[in-house]
Amino acid sequence: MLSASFAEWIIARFTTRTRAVSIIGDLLEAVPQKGKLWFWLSVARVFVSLTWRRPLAVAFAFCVGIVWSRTYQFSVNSLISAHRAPLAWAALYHYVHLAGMYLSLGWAYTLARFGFKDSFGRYLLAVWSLIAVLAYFGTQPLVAVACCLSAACGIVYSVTSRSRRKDLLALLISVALNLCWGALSVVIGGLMGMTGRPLSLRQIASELAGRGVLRVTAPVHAWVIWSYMLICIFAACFIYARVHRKFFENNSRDIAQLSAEIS
Amino acid sequence: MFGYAPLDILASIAYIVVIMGRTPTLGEFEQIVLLAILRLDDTAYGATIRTEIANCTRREPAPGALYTTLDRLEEKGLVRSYMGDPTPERGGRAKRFFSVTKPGRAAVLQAQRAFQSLLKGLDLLEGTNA
Repeated sequence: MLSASFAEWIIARFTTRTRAVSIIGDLLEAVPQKGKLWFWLSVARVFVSLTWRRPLAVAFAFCVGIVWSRTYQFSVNSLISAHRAPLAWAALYHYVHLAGMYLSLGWAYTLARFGFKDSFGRYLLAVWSLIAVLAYFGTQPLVAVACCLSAACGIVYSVTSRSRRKDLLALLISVALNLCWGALSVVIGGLMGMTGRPLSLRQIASELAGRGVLRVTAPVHAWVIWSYMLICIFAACFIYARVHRKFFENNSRDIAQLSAEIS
Repeated sequence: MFGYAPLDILASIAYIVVIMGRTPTLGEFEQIVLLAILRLDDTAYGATIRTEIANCTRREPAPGALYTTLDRLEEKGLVRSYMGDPTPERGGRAKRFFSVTKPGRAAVLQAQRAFQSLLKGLDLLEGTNA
């Protein structure tokens, strides 16, 4: 039946192929007694149950990202001099802030979507906590050294444990992809008129080094800024979702395929 | 002490700490799904589980809730699934059969024991609480 194949295709976008096949098969069995309307209502209910966490997770990540960005700018960049990094370290702290931003989006999205028991989400939260301490109090040498030592211990621990190694690799790939996206987003920001004109390579390099081309621009409409931020957050969440799927949802798919082959 | 051998007490403590500590807690619907799978034995798959729950509880479970619960139970290691053969009434689609694992049985048993001990002495069907 073509419509059943279409329903299967929709469900397979949000779960594994074998699960989608079995779900649609189960629903098709009841069609002679319950009718086509029931079938499509059931498909819609399965669809909602598989997807409702996604928009919620993006919204939560958006809120956390905004809070992180605003509090950081408020306390570190402007008012509290104790938190302000020396000029020579400004570029490094820009990257710390950027990593904190991406990690905050990561843990918020992952924990909201996959639950607090998700090991990758908790790993991201732990690393983000370290980054947050470094970002706010890293100007004090003792705190900076303690953070670096904790990070080194964390890396050693992650490398020695098999599951943590997977978490560490997923984290590194997510952050690398997010930084690549960050570079691309500067170009997109230029194209969207946030800089008043397209950026040259030198200006992009300057922005990436934390010297803030995007902040010294001609005024733009609020909707441009908000749509730009939404695009950035959607992209970051998409990266985390894909990395999670690649690293942590393959096992169940492998088992399902293996059992299909055995049977 | 209290008429028990020291080894029995040690074994009980070890059981409580190690085994019961590892047994995951179950929600009401998770218990219903696990019991339905246990009742169906080798014929437990989505459609039969839904029918069994509807027959026993007189409540039709929402399809979305059923499949997400089955996935969650599998992630917790309380059930395992395997694919059966494709059948014509399902448009050539294979069934995904479920069976309860040892930790799954232990979790159901623990939840039911908790209910039993709470019910003990209540006399719900007769007497003042009816």
